[in-house]
Amino acid sequence: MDPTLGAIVIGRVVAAVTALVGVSPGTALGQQPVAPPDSALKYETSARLDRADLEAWLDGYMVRALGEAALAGAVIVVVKDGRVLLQKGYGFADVANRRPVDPERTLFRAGSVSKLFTGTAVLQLVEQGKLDLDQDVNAYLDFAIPPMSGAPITLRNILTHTTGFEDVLKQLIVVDPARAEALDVYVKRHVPRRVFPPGATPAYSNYGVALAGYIVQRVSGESFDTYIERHIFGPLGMAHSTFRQPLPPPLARDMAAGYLDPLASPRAFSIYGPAPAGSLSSTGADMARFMVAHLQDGRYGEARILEPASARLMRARAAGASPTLNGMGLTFWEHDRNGHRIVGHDGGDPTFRSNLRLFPDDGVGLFMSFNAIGPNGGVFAVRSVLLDEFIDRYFPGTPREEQTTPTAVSHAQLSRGIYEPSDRKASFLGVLGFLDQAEVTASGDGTIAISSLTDLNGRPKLWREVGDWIWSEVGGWDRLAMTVEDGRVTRIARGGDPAGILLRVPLWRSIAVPVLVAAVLVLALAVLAWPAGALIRRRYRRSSMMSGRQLLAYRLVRVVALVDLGFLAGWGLLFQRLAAGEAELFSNRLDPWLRILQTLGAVGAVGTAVAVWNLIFVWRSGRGRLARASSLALVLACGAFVWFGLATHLLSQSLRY
Amino acid sequence: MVKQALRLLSVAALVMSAGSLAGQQAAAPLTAADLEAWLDGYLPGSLIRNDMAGAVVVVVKGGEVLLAKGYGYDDIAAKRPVDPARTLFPVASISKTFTATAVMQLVESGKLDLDRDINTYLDFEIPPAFGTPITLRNLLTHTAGFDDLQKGSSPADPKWYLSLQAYLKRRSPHRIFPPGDTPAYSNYGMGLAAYIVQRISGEPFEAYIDRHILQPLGMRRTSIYQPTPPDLIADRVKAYLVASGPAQMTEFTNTRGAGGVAATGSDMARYMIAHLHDGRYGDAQILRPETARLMHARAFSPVEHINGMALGFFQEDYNGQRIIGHDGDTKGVHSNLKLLLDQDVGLFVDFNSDGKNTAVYDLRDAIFHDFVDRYFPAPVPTEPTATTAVQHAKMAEGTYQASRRLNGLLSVFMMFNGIDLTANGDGTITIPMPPTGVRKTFHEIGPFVWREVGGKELLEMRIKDGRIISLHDHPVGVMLKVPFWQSSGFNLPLLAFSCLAMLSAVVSWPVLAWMRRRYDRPALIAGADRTRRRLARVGAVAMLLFVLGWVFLATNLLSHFYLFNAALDPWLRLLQIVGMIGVCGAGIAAWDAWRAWRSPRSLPAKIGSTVLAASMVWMVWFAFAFKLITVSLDY
Repeated sequence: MDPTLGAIVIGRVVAAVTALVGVSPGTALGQQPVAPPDSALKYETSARLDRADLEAWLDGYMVRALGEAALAGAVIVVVKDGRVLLQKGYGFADVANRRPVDPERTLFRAGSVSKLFTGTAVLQLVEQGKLDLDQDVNAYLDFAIPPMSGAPITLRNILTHTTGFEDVLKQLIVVDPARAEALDVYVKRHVPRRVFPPGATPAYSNYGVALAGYIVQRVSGESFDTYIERHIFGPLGMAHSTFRQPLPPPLARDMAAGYLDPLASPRAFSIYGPAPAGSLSSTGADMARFMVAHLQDGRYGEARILEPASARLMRARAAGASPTLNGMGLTFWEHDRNGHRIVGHDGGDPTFRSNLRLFPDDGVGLFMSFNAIGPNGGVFAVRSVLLDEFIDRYFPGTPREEQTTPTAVSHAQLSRGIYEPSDRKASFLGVLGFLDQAEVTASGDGTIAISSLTDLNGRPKLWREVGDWIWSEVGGWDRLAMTVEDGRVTRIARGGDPAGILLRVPLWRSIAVPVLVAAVLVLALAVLAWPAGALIRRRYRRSSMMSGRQLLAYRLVRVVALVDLGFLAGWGLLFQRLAAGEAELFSNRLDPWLRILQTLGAVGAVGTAVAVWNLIFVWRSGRGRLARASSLALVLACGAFVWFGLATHLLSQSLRY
Repeated sequence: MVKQALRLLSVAALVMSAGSLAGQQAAAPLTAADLEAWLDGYLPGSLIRNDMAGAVVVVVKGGEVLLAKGYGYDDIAAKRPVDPARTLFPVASISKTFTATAVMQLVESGKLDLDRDINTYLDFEIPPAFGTPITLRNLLTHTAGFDDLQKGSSPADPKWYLSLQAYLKRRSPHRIFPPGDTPAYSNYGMGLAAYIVQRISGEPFEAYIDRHILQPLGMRRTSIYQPTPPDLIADRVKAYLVASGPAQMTEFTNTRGAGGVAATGSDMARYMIAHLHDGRYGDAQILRPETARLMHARAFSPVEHINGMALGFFQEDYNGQRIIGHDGDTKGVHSNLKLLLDQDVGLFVDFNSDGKNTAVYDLRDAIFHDFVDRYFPAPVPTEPTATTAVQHAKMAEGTYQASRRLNGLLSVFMMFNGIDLTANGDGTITIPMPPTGVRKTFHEIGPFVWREVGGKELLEMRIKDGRIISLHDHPVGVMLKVPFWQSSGFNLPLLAFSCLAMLSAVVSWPVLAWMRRRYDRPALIAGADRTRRRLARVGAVAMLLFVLGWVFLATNLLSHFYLFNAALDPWLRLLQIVGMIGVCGAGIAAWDAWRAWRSPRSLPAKIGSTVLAASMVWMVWFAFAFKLITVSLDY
C-alpha cells in the first residue's frame, strides 16, 4: 500500500506532461541545469547516539520539516539496548482542536508496517509446527488459488512477494464501513490473476499478505484481529494498538486525524480490505515494544513472542536478485547501508506515512509516523531525508571504493530501452503500466539513467557498473542487478525495492502511448470538422456533396469517433479522480460506472466496422485526395483505439481489478 | 538588496510558519552541545530537501562565540565545504547596519546631525518636496519617502559599476511620501548616507568602513570593496539558484552602503559582539555606549504595536525579547542577523542559494523564530476578539500594495505585488502574507490591531480621516490600500479578454480570406472601409506583440536585476514603438467600429468590430495608466 495509487498517478501524469512539454519544473529560461559532476552532495554530520544529542537533533529536524512541508504532526521513537532512548510527539494529532501528538497515547496508521505483524504471526505458527513455509497454501485454505504452470504458492512466496499475483486494488481501501468486507470475504472475492510463476519474479502483493493473515486465522482458530491481540499485542503490552477497523471506541478517541493539507479538513479513516497487509493503528510507545522484541530475538521483558531462531530467520535474507543487492527477509526488507545491517518496512496510507528500521547488530530501532502528506506531498522528502540523515549521523560510513568496470559502456548500450515494473495489473488498471514505463538511457560515458528513479530534485539518478551487470548509484547506496537474455538486458532488479523488478517491455507496448495520442487527434479532428463543415456550407450556401448511404456512413463514423473519445475521456476522468486521492473509488461503488464505460467501449470497438464501411464508400465514390486520406486515417485511428483498449484491458468486460 | 517588492512574483511556496503548528515546550539550554545538535538536525535536512548548496551559522553569547559552523558547500564544482573561518559570504543589506554605524560614529564626534537637512552635507541637491527636508534620521529609518530605483542599481558587468558620487547624481528617485511619514525601503537613501560619510570624513566610503569598523574589530576576512579584493576573492562563496544548477554571476551594488560587505561567519561574530556590548569588542570601541543604545532603540514607527525602525537596524522583537536585526539578499545569497539585546545573544546565518521554489526566504526567517522559540520560548498569546472586529474587518477589505513602490516603467509590476485582504464575516481577516504568499487569518485584539489566529504574528492598520490607509507587519513592511482599478483582480481578466479579442480578430483575418477564396466569394467591404479594417488589425497585431514583449520582460528579467541597465534601453524603446503602433491602431479600430454601425454590415460584424475597438482602447488606457509607454526610460 505504499505508495498509494493516487500518488503514483499524480507522479506519472506530471512526469508525462513534463516529458511532453519538454521542460523540467524549476528550470529557468536559458539556464541548463547541470548535474553535480561525479557524486551527490553530502551534508551529513556525525555524532554519538545518546538521548540529549538525539533529542536536540530531532527537534531541529522536525520543527523545520513540519513547518516547511506544512505537515500536521509526527511521532518518532528510537530504542537502544532494549530501552526507549527517545519517544516524542511533534505538532498536532488534531489541528482544529490543537491536540498535540502524545507518543504514549496518539494512534497513527502504520500502513504496510502492519505486514511485519502478520509475518511475525506466521512465524509463530511455523514455530509451533502448525504451518510450513514451503507447503502449498491451498492446503490451509477453504477455497482454491488456481494453479499456474504446475507450481504451488507457498507462505515463503507470500512473505517475500514472489507469489506472482497481479496487483489488485478493488476494495483495497474504503471509508464507508457499510462497504467494508470481512477478511474471509475479501480473500475469496478478489483472488488475483497469476501473472508470474511463483518464486521467479518479485511483485509486491497486498493480497498475498492478506492471504497469510487469513491462513493465520484458519489455522489458529481465532479471528486474525484476536490472534494478533492475544499472541503479539498482549505479551508485549501494546495496549494502544489494534488491527480492527473501524477503531474500537476507547482507541478511536486517541486516533490522530489524517490530512492531505493540515489547513483543510482531515480525511476519513481508511478501512483496508487486505487488513493484515495494512490496517494496524498504533502509538509510538507501542511500536517501541515491538521493535525491542525483534531486536532481542523475540523477547520483551518476561514475554517472548518468537524463539531466537525464528526471529533471526524472519530478518535473515530469504530472497534477492543478487548477493550484492539488498533483498527480502520474511516480510522484513533489507536496508543495509554504511556497512550496518538494517532491516525494516515502510508504510503508506492516504494520509499517514510510517517507517520502521531495525539495526540488529547495533541494538537500535527507529519508528516514525506522520499524519499528513502535505499540500505539496512534502512528507516524502521529509521522511526519506530523515532516514538518510539519521543513519549517516549515528552510523556513518565511508563511500564504497569501487572501480567502474571496463564493460560499462557496452553493457549500458545493451540495457537501453523501455521497462515496466512487475506489479502488473491484469485489469483495466493495466493502463497504468503505460504511464509507469521507465526508460533506461545510456550517457555514453558508461553511466546509465532510469527515468523513474529520480533524486529529491526530480532528476534521474545515475548508475555505473561496478561488477558483472551490477550497477551502483553514483553518490548513493542503491544498486541494480541486470539479467541478460539473448544478448539483451531483460530484467533490472534494485536493492532499494526487493519486492519488485523492472521488466523490459515488447516494442508495441513502448509505442502505445504515441499511437494513442495520434489516434485521438485524428478522431477529434473528424468530430470537430463535422459541425465546422456544416457551418461553413451554410454560410456560403453550399450543399453537401454527399447523400444517401454515403452521408449516413459519414455521419455514423463521426458518431463512432465521438463514442471512442467519450470512452477515453471517461477513463481519463476516472483516473483523474483516483489521482485526486478519492480512495472510496476503489470500492465496489465504482462498478456501475465501470459498466457504463465498458458498454461505451464495446460500442466504439464494434464501430470500427463503420469506419471501414465509410472508407469503402469514399474510395468508390472517387472523392478527392483529402477525403480519401481522412477516411483511411479514421480507420487506422479506430483500429488503434481497439488495439489500445484490448492491450490495456480498458475494453475488458470484467469488474475484477 | 532586499527585493521584497518583487519577491512575490517568483515565490510559489506553500509553506506555513513553523510557529503556527509547532507545539509549545520548555526552554532548552543554550549550550554549544545542544545548539550544535539542533542545528545539525535543522540545516542539513533543509539544504538537501530544498536543493541548496550551503550555509554558515554563527551564534555568539556572553561575548564569546558559542558556535560557528559551516554546512554544505561554498563551491559545488570544487566540492569545497563551507568553513566559518575561511568562507566569505556577501551579507548584502546587512551592510546597511555598517553604514549606519559609520553615520553614528560621525554623529558621536559632532560632525553629523541626525536631524539636519541632508542637502547641507551634499554637493548636489535633493529637490524639495512636501515642504519638509530629508534628514539622516529619515535615511536610516527608510522614511525619506523615495520610490524605488532598479535601473543600474545592481549591475553584474563591471562596466556599469559607477562611483558613489556618479551614481547618486545620475539617478534620482521621486519623492512620493513626506519625510518621516510612511516607511518605504530605499537603497538609494542608504547610498546617500554612505556618500555623506564619505564627504564629511574626507575618506572614500569603503576606506572609512575599513579603517573605523573592520580594522578595530579585527575583521580581517571581511571586505566592503567591490569586487572582493584578490586575496579574499578565492574564498568567496559561489552563489546558486539551486545546488544542482550552475553558479550565478556576482551582482555589484551601485548604491554602496546599501550592500557590498562580504564577511566570514567568524568575523560577523566580532561585529555582533561589538553591537551587543554597546560598541565594545575587546580593547576596541567603535561606538560609545550611549551612541550604541541610541542606535539600537526604536527610532520610528508609523504605528504603535508593530516593530519599528531602529537606526539602520530593524526592531525585531519576538517572544517578548528585545531584538534588533537585518536581513540581506543578493543574487543567490541570503543572510539574516539578529541580536537579542537583553540576552547578549546574536545569531547570524547566510545561505549561498535560493533553493527550490526560493525556499530560502522562508528558511532564513524560520531559523530565527525557531531558534528563539527553542531557547527563549513564549506561549502563543490568547486574547479575546475585539467587539469591533466585524466592522473593522469590513473596512479593511480590499487590495494593498507595498510602500516600496517601483518607479517608471516597472510600475505595472506593483499590480502583481498586491495582496487582497478578505473579511471572513466572523470578524477575522485573511491575507496572503508577503513575501511567501502563505494565507494567514487574523482576529482583532485591540483597535485595528490584529493577531494571527493560533499564532504570534501581529498586524496593525493605520487610520487617516476615519479610513484605513495601510497595513503594517514589519518595520518596512507597509502595504498601502489602493483603488480597485490598480488591482490585478480587476486588470488581469480585462487584459486576458482584450488579448483574446485581438487574437480572434487577427486569427480570423487569414482564415476568412482563405475561405473566401475557397468558396470564391468577394470580400463584403471594399475601399476605405477595407483599408481601415486592415489597419485596425495591424494595430491589434502590434498590441499583442507589445503585451508579449512585456510578458517576456516580466518572466525573464525580473529575476535578473543586473540586466536592468542602459543596454536594455533600445529594446524598451522598440517595445514602446510597437506599443505606439498599437495605440494608433486603437484609434483606427474605434473609427472602424463607429463606421460599422452606419454601414449595412451584418450584426455580428458590427459587434465584432466594436468588441475589438473596446479592447484596444482599454489596452491604451492600461498602457498609459501603468506607464508601459513613457518618455523617460528611468525606472
